[in-house]
Amino acid sequence: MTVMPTASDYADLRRHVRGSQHARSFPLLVIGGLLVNYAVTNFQSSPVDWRYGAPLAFVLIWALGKINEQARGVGAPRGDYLVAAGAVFIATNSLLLFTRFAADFRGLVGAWVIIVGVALVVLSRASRDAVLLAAGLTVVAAGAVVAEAGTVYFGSSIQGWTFFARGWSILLIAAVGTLLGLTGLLLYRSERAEP
Amino acid sequence: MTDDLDHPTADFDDAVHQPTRLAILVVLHEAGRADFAYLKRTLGLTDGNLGRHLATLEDNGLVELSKGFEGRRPRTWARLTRPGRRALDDELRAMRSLLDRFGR
Repeated sequence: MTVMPTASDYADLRRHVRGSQHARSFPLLVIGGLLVNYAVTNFQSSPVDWRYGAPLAFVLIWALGKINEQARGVGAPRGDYLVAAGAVFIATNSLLLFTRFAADFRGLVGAWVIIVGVALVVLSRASRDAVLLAAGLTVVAAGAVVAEAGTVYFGSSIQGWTFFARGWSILLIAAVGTLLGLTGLLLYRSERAEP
Repeated sequence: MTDDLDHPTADFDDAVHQPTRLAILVVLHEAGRADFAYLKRTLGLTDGNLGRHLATLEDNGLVELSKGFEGRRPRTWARLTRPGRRALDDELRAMRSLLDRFGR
């Protein structure tokens, strides 16, 4: 007699496939790295790095998925990270057309971080992934805080002795990036354990 | 008689409503595509068993198989087709409907 598997069997199967795809760890590691990179790059002197960083991060997630596909024989995660890269590029660059953002770096930095978070939220909804959703919302919240209440100056501030070489706005972005990166690292270890 | 036709089990598709084939479709739905070795490893199937089920799914237009080589190693990829995705959605809907009848 054949026994039909239960819904939880299929839920386990889906979890297993996502683990094989590194569908959670790759995005968290890369976006975490992007936010930390944002924190160590002077915004005012090199905003170009910021403009290309986010789209390239989404391209990198897609590329890692394709490499993993060849290595493990399981398709890249659903949700098109290449489309996300294009959308993020258009959205971040379009903001420079508006005086409010072109003249206010704080608002611009916050808005760009929000755009990255929104992209993550949209992709998490496509793959119905609660962890990616939580990560995306955290990034959006950090971007909103920076946009609304962040310090205006985002460059280095090494005058006299201070522990950190950046203002709190940038440190907040770095902290969220570190949190995402560490979470991604932990998830990667557990995903690798999948047969 | 009408009741019988309305029963959710009438919506089950024999090609889909089989544990192994359903599991293959679930994996492909999630992964988009997967190779033969991954499906075999993940579902704990033999070459012959997996090959037979994939052939059934392919004959029904639910999956698309593509064979190629990587170096000298043959590699077969399975991809869920649009009718396959629809068939899986219909199957899951029918299963849910059946469970609803039992109030679960």
